[in-house]
Amino acid sequence: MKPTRVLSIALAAGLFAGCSKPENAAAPAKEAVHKHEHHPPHGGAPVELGEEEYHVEIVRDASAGKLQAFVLDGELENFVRIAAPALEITATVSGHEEKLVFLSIPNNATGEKVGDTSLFEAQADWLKTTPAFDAVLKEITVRTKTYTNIAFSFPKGSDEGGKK
Amino acid sequence: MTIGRIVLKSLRQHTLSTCVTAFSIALAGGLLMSVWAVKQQSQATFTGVNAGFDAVLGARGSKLQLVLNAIFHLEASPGNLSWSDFLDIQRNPNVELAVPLAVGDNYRGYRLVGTVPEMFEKTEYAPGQKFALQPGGAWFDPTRREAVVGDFVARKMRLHVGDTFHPFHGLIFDEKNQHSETYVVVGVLKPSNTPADRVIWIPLVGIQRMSGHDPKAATDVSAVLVKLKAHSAIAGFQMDMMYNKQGNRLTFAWPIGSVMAELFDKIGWFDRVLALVSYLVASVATASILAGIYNSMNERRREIAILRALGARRFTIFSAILLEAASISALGMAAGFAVYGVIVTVVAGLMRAQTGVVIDPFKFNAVMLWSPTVLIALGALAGIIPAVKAYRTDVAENLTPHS
Repeated sequence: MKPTRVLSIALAAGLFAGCSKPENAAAPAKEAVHKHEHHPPHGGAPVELGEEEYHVEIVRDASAGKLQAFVLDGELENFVRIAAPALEITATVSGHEEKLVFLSIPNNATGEKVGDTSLFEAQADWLKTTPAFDAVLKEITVRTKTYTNIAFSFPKGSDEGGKK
Repeated sequence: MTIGRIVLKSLRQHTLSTCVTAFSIALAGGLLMSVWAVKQQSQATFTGVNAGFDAVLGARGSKLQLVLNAIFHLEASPGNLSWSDFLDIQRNPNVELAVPLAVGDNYRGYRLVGTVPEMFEKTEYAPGQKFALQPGGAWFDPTRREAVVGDFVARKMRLHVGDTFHPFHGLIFDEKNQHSETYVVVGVLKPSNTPADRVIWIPLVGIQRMSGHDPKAATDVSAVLVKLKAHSAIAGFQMDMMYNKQGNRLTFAWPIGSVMAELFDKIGWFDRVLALVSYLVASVATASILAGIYNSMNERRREIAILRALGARRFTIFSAILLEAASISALGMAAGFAVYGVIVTVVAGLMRAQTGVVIDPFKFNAVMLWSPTVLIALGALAGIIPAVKAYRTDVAENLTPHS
């Protein structure tokens, strides 16, 4: 009988240990909500549109004096094409304003055309020597929603990573 | 009488049950080793084969289909790309080499692949290994109807330098779809143990302008093999994002090894099922060792009592039974290696014929050590209960005559 008793106790211990697991399993799930973050795919500055409905990622190419603006979804994962032929951003550099006009970039490889693209580019010489600035995106319409006067700073962006 | 002789005598006395049990152990062991070794080798080989390229660009569709079509010469192409798509990626500053491929014809079931001379001149299909021709051959002239045949195809179809053939339309051989063009074999590849051995290589324009093919698609290609410049892991990631997420026209399958690894992840359940079957067979075989020896204990009570009376200790009897059980397992595992050899040789042959990928059936794998060890240990374990019964045999009671 003794081996049977030992086996029964071992089984009971195993079941008891198993039953206690759900409490521990809940804790990691709570932590996961706090740690929700967005990672800009090109390593640029994420600019939030609305309540993280969409994003614009701003990427600087210092050697070319160029800024790229990618329109992305709320999770910064999928590219969203918009109809606008251009976007306008006003940057504040050393106390004075600089206007940047981002033109839509067609791309044969991706199938994007002017009026149906997620990529916009602007060029200016001062971008070669200015790594940081504050700016305002004047207006952008993504699908049916229009966002105006979106303020952000470069390179930080305006997306806090979704942290609550 | 030593333990060894006791065991040998017992095995001989129960030859039939010993052989049957050993055979089931052989099946279990052979199957387990085969599943393990084939899975590991085939996964390593399939994820390692990339023809010397980092990525494949193709029409929008499944990355797996693209890689199977362009690298392994299986599956149909998901669609065509325009010549301008090829030029675009060729000009990309992160691309070291871009090689176009075109498919759509066959010779008696073996695929014809149209390409450019750079496929052979600038490509290393494995580190330090370039495609080479067997003596007496030459690379095809891209302006002529010439062909370089893979080693496997040449042997199967008995094609030699100087032979001529007519291609057939489509990827599946149909006698009615013969093209009028005649190709001459100018070279046979040395075996590379890659899927390149299973196809016939012809100039790119040969496929593009074959009679009966759509003239509007005369400059299209099926896929582009892409080699990125060294230290350009980020470039691969950026191109992957551009084509696959930002774009909706083309698919960029990168890195090739990961695409194949995902396939093995998806079908991983299959080899787990096979392994489970072999564990079950091993369990049944072990149980039959237990049952066979246990049942024989009744007949052997007097024999055991005599041995005890002659001076054998209880522990000696116990050990003899354990050793007998382990010996049956050991015999089974010895035969199991033969079963393994047969299974893996057949599987390797099938894999080579179907995919061009070569695995070494007799390459050492750790399963060849732990599988026999575990099965022999299980056999010994199965012998414990009969050994305990033998241990407890009452000498006086079993020596008493019954007549």
